[in-house]
Formats: sequence, structure tokens, C-alpha cells
Amino acid sequence: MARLTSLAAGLGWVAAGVLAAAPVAAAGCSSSPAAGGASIPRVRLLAARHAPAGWHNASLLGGRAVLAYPPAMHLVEGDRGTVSAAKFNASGAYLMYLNATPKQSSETLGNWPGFRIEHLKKENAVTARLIAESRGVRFLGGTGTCVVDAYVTKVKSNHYTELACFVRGQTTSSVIIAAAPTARWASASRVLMRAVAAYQVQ
Amino acid sequence: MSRTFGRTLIGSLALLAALVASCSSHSTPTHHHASHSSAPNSSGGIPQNNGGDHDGDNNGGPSDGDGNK
Repeated sequence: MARLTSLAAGLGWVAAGVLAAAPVAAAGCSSSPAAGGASIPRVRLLAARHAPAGWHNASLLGGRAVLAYPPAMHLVEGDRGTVSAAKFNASGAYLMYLNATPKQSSETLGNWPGFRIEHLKKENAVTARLIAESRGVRFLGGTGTCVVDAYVTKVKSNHYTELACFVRGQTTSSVIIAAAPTARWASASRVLMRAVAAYQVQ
Repeated sequence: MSRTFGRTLIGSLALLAALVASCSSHSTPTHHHASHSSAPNSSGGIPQNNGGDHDGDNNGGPSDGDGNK
């Protein structure tokens, strides 16, 4: 700092500003997991209940599971046998995303938190961190394990936060995903959690 | 301006530019499919950039609930 005082004042302030801004910028995009050893908080979920009037329904598993989505969202293309709904802005950016997928692999109620995070890292994400989890969650027709996590995509480095639940019904098991850009999660999560609360399984 | 300070200033500017660039896509995820070739996936997952099943989630969209099949 002593060296700065001997230089032109303008350049000194520029340098000081740059040096001060760097750690702020780094903190602003930090996605590293919380310090190890901390207990994972529970997901704050809404109680299971049918969707509000005016919402749409989309079935999967031959009608053995039903995804409800609000009028502001519309069905979008996804994997065969799955159902997805989304809302985009005028530029085509995701604002909200819902997906229901039949069980496809070794996911269970017990291993879901770890399974989901590992799957994100393996397939879509450069980083993924668990924020909260809940077990024994009641759904309409079943029981689930839910996580809230945040991840950054391998492609385009998009930041998303999601509520992801593995749900076991009497005859089928499936996954419901409710996601939004992390910067919009605070405003989008209310309606997304309402959709998850209305998810029905058999 | 001393040589040492000049180097510090240039290095700091480069660092800040890199940090800003790494955060620049934070709020604008889109569902448009990428047109470039698939990124390799050494871990055995579905290839990204329109690889594999061509899902939106392999092009920077939100991840679906598939079990990697």
C-alpha cells in the first residue's frame, strides 16, 4: 500500500478498486459445498394436496402418476415416457421447470440424496451441492425422499436450484423435479413446491 | 508508474475479468439446443452438447429425473 501512495492518485484508486472487487466477485459466484460435518437441514415442503383449480395435469406410467402444473407453464419435450413442463422468458431462458420420470435405475427412498447429487455430477453438472433433505415425505398416494440442491451445468455454466423427490407409490416409483435458475429460486419455489405437493402416484 | 505496480494492476484486471466471465451466465439459462459437437464425458454419463439423448438438460437446461438410462 505504501507503494500506491507514491503513484498517481487516479491509478491508485483504480488498482485498489480492482483488488477490492476481486474477492467480492469470487464470493458472488461461489458454489462450493458447506463445510463438512454440518448437519443437513430439512426441506420445507408443503403438505400434499390436490392442485388448485385451473392447473393442468399430465400423466405418466399409464396414468399411475400425475404431474400437475400451473397455467403459466406448458408441456415441453423430454425423454420418452416422461412428462416435463416449463416456463420461459421472451429470450428462451428457463424460469421454471417441472419433470416427472419413472424410476430408471437403482434409486431408492434410502439412497436418493446421494444418488441425485452423484447423478447430477455424472451427467449434467460441474458442481452440485446438497442444501436440504427430508425423508418420509407424504405424497398423494405415496411416500418420498426429497432434496433441495444447487448445481452448475457443464454446458453454458447455468446455475439451477431444484427440489427433487423420489416417490414410491403402491405399484410404481418415480421422480419429480422442480427447478428454477438459482437467481430466481426465491420467487419460483413457491409455485414449484405447490406442484410437488400436488404430485399423485399409485 | 513503477514496473511492479504496472504488473500488479494488469494481473488484477485479468483476474477480475476472469471472475466476471465465470459468473456471466448466472441468470440467463436458455433452452436453445447447442449446435456444437458433444463434450466428452469420461465418467460414462450422457454426453453433453446435444450428445446422447438430446435432452434439454444436456444443453445447459435443468436436469430431468432420469436415472442415467
